[in-house]
Amino acid sequence: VCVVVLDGERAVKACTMFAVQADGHAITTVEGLAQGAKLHPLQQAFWDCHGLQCGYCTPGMLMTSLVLLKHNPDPSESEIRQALAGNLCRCTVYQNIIASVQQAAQQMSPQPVEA
Amino acid sequence: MAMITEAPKRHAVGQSMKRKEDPRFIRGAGRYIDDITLPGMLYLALVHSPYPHARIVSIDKSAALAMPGVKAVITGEDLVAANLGWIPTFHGYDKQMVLAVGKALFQYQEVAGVVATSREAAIDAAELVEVDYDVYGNRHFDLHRSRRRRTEQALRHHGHQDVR
Repeated sequence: VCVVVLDGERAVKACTMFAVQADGHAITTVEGLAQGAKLHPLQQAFWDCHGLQCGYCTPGMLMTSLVLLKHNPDPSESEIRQALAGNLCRCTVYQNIIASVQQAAQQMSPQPVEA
Repeated sequence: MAMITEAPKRHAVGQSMKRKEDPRFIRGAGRYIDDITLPGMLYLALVHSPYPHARIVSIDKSAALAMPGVKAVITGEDLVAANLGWIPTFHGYDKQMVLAVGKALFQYQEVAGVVATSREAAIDAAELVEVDYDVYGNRHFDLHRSRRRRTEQALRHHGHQDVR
């Protein structure tokens, strides 16, 4: 759905990339985020922090956040907002989405940051 | 200062609830109306009026009907003939025109619907529905003069008897 991750490095909107451009690359979709029954910390955080309402933008938010945290494991609030700026949430739960990403960042960091 | 005691855990009130629907959304398994496909399902595309106030002189369905996959082209007249021209609104005391009959009363009003076996076929055929409009002049759009009276007149003219 919508945003997919290319080679674990780049978040791309699937509709803006031709299949030939993706040839030979590893594509991760939101369906590949969980390890079986175990949710990815980002998924868990979105659930815990009410980071979604209708859920339509959620795959895009999750996959974009995944790449953000890969390159910047401890982003500031404005860095999170900037990273997610291309994803619109018509339910406007932005505040909770930021909180979700912050929680996930905390849980994914090797040495948990003191809150 | 009032004492706040913790609500018993078995109640929903006073505590944050985990949403039951979230697991499917965060796993990419959400299902929306657009995802639903039923056997024999048909798709509707609407033809809208480009004019805010125009008499509908004629509607030519033939080119649209000739397109592959098109099952029907429905106009306001067809709905009236089937006694489906007006639908009730949530208010109960009001009713609403489904497709324009005789004239378009506002810009983008739905004038016809094309039913086809695919979304693409319906959209393509909707562009081929030939509607001939006789556009009314601007005198009908003087918002500052008797707007309310004109609205009521229009509603009565279109079949509303109990206008308040």
